[in-house]
Amino acid sequence: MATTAIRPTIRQRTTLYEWLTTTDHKKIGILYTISSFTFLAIGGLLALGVRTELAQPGLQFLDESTYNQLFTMHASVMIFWVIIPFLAGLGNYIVPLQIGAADMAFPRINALSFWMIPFSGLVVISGFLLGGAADAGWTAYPPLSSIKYSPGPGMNLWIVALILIGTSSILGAVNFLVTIFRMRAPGMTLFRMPIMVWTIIVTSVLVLMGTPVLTSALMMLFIDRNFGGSFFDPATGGSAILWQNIFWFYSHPAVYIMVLPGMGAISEIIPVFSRKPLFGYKAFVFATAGIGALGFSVWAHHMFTTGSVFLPFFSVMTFFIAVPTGVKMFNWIATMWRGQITFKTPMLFAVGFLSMFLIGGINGVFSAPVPVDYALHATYWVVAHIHYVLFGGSFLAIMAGFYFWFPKMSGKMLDEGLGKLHFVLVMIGLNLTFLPMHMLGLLGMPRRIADYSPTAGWNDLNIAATIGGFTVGISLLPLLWNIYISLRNGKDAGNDPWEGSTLEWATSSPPPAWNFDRLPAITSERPLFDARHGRSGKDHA
Amino acid sequence: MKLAHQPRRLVALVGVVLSALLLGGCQAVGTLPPATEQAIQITDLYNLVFTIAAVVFVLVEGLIIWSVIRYRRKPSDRSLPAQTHGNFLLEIVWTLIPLVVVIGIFITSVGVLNSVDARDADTAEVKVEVVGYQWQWKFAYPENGIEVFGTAAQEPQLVVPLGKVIQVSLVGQDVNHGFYIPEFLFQRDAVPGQVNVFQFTPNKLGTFNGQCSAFCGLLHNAMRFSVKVVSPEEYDTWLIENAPKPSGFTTLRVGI
Repeated sequence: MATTAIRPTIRQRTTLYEWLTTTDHKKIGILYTISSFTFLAIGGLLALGVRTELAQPGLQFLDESTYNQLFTMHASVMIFWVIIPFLAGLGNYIVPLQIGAADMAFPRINALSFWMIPFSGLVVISGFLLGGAADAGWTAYPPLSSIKYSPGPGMNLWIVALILIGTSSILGAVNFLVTIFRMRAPGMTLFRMPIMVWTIIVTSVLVLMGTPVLTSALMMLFIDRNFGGSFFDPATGGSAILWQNIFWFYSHPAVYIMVLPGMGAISEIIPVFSRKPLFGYKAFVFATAGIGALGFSVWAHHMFTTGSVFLPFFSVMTFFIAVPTGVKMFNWIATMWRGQITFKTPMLFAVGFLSMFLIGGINGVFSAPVPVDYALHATYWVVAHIHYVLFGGSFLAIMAGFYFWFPKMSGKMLDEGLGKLHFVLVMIGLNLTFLPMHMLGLLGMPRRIADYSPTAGWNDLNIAATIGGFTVGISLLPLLWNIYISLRNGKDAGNDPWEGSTLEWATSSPPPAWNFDRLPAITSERPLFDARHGRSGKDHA
Repeated sequence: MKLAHQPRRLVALVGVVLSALLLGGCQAVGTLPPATEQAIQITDLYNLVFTIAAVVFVLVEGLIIWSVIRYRRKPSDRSLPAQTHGNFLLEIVWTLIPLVVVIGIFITSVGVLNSVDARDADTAEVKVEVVGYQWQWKFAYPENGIEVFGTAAQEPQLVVPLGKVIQVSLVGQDVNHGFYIPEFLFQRDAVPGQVNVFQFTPNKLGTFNGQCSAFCGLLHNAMRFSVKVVSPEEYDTWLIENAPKPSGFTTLRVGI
């Protein structure tokens, strides 16, 4: 009796210890996923708090102070602790497998990168318990974010947490670059790499160029707040606009950090479920690199209304960056064109991504012509835009990738019916939430307001958005149930449930600690396709 | 999950929903009726961008929906479809066409921008100073010695004459604020330590609501104000009625 009781305890403790100390990129990838889902729940509840308050004019549910903390923390958590780590986690799991490597180049740094995420997340959230979380918006513009106007502890905690998570990103980016450039399997030339790997390269370069700049801005703000610095204080010779320039120099490329790996996942999924290669592989790679390069020359389009921007330059660059994104859209459609498409859940989410990210691309172009931006800036139009990009784009891509690679990670298939239910609910919910926000913006509703006039004509649209928000929240329940029942008694996935083309499908699900017993010959970007069907022709043109 | 077994029906349903959203959207996606000369130009530019955007949206979304319906895998699809890796000419075309379109919009927008942002101190017929502070506005007419302060209880009102060139000098007193009037289709940030100057010409009588658009802390949502456009005669009367006593500046009771 005693022994049977003790044994499982020891085994559990060992398992827990193993997960806490693991340096296996696959386990770390799964930890990233668990952490991201946890913060997704937190960020989602914060958003529902915001939507509940905005459902009707008047302050029924929150006071202004709490409201300001909620929307600030919603954006911060979703960007830094959900979307970026979710994609980093998928990359962590998939990239070494896709290039035929046994692990990341620096496994212990990899573990460090991960553990900084939940730690920094707790730091930023602890503000709620320590007298108020950060409440100056996720953009933290000084002078509002200065010690004078944001005296609470939340702002300092926010700065420290962002520096920590930024460091985690930088370490992760170095790790990805060294892994990809030094550890590819024999035969895998750069132009035979899966597109997912290419997008992780460009993302890592963006992180290396952008994140240290954000860190420097955060340190300056910290010095201003706590040691009497005056970098951003106009009263003592600093410049409030300086922060905006440095902040957006990172935070605009950050949008691409949050979208490019998702585009990579989509570019893996659409070819597999269309039974065709990606149309225009090289064009896609150059478009990705082009977005990365142009991404650093558009930051001031967030500042058109400040009166201190050289407008035509940033306007024209913003127009230009729409072009490579458009090229990718055509590549994906041409990949489906004359294919043989099957609609498993990953493909549904991929097509959902195409149609929603299209809206996020188009409604963003409205802010490139400066005079139109004068009308739309800082209104709910912009809220609609970022959510079509980050939710309709990044998040749907993350879900597509999650459904696609879950069988590889767990060895179990997810239930298709629940997956389709999740898809339908999330598509209805997200459009019901964010389409009305375009109209709210045109009707003049500014973002970040806790309350609005009942006679402004915004009531019905706000109710619609709130109902949509709760639909999005509910849509996650079938997903969580799906994960639970599939892990317990899902169908075995086998090595390659989708007839995949890339190396991760050449090993068992889940793969052994060393990833591969043997690798197939790599003579194109689709080694498994070649092994299954024989070489189907030349390399991509 | 009947739908799950009928992918074609599911796809058709998604198509119908998207078209309904699009049609519903089109009816409510115009700007507010413009109330200044500048706003008319911005509305025209918006409508141009919207038209192009709508065409692109219908075209691309149509291609997505068409591919998804037309190229579903059929039971007879045993052998692989043609493994097309790309088409150089096609890819050049679909890179160049969007490039030409966006350059076209850019050039048009620069013309509008130069006109909207034009400011010539000599042409200004009424000069006002606007100061944003936590959490209200001050409107001052330095040439007439009038100052209007908003309070939480009563929003301030900026009174301006119809058809005249109004010049605003805008500054923030403590943190950043945003001077935004939806029907003017215009906003400009009020930044501490930096005076932003812009001009507008009201072309419509009436009262237009405005509010702070740059998040400025606790009572950001309470920074509401209005702009009342009156005839030049009424404006002159208003100036006389509110002119300061000979002893010096008067602080005007808010909300005329």
